[in-house]
Amino acid sequence: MRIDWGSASDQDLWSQAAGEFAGEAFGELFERHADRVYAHCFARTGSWSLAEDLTSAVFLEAWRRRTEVRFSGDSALPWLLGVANNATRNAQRTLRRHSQLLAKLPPPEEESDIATDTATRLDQERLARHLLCAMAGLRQAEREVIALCDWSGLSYAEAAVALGVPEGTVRSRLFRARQHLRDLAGGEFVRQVRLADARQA
Amino acid sequence: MTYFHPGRMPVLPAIRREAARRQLEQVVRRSAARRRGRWALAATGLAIVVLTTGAAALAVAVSAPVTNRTQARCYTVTSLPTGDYTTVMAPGRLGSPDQVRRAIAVCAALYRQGYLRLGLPGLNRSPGPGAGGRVPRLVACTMTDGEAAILPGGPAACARAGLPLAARGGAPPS
Repeated sequence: MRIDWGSASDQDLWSQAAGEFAGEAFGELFERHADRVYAHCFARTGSWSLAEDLTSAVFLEAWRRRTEVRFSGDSALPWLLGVANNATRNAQRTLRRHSQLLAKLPPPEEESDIATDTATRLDQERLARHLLCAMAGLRQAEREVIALCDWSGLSYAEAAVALGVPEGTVRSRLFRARQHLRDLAGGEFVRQVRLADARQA
Repeated sequence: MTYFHPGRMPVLPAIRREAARRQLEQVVRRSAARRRGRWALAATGLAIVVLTTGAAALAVAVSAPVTNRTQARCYTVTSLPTGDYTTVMAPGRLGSPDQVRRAIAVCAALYRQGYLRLGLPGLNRSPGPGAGGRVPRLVACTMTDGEAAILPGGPAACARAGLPLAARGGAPPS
């Protein structure tokens, strides 16, 4: 059964969390935000297959922690990316918690449509790994704010919701993190980013 | 300074996406059903206590505020038989002034899409194409436990059901 949730906000969908249509409402939330969560998990791990498992785990975690949800405007995405941050930080523990469910999903290699964009994926993986190496020198909080604002494109206000800190803290933390990352990554990193950008454009 | 561009990132593969969505829906549905079952049990127990203590003779006030901020009930009949309603959860921002109005809107949407049918108890889980029905006039009443009950009919429907009008809302959907 599919319900037309087109005009419902994330908040409306979340409000169905214990009602007759809880499953359908959460399914719609998944449909809306799965790709952004997937991209975020990939950027944090540098692995597409790990990101697939983590994406499922993030939504299962979101359901488990549904009473803690915070909205930015009407959107649940910033909070979901906050959950994704926690999930990737403790990836092994998160995946272990949901291992029984994840084992029932089709493994990544069975996907047929991956082949069409293999080159893009490999490029992205290379770039992500390079970036993650540079990021290793940052503090955890700096890594998270960079991932949310620069990689996933959240505004300061949205990142504040995701991280559960004031907006001013996001601004100052991001400023310091960018400076720190620039120092660590250097010109070679910037060249790689530009190259990958040109390839994608 | 954006290194990864979400618009240009590969998307979650289709097979995996469908399977993950289906699995999430199942998990959520099972968990929500267990939770509703516990609530129903508690509500039944409470109803028995109320009846046996003779508190069933409820004084019907003109209106009463909705204090339950997490759920509302959509009825398709006005006699309020046990179990013949559909629960919708926390319609709108918690405690917002238009909470009751949004509960009415959610119930109206279920009528419009054919999940609720006037006069027929229960939920039609598989409305066929074109099953969308007429949305009756709806009114919000307040249950004794502070939950909003959205009934078909005008303000008199609340009185007939022995309930006060909800203090906020009560207007039919436009």
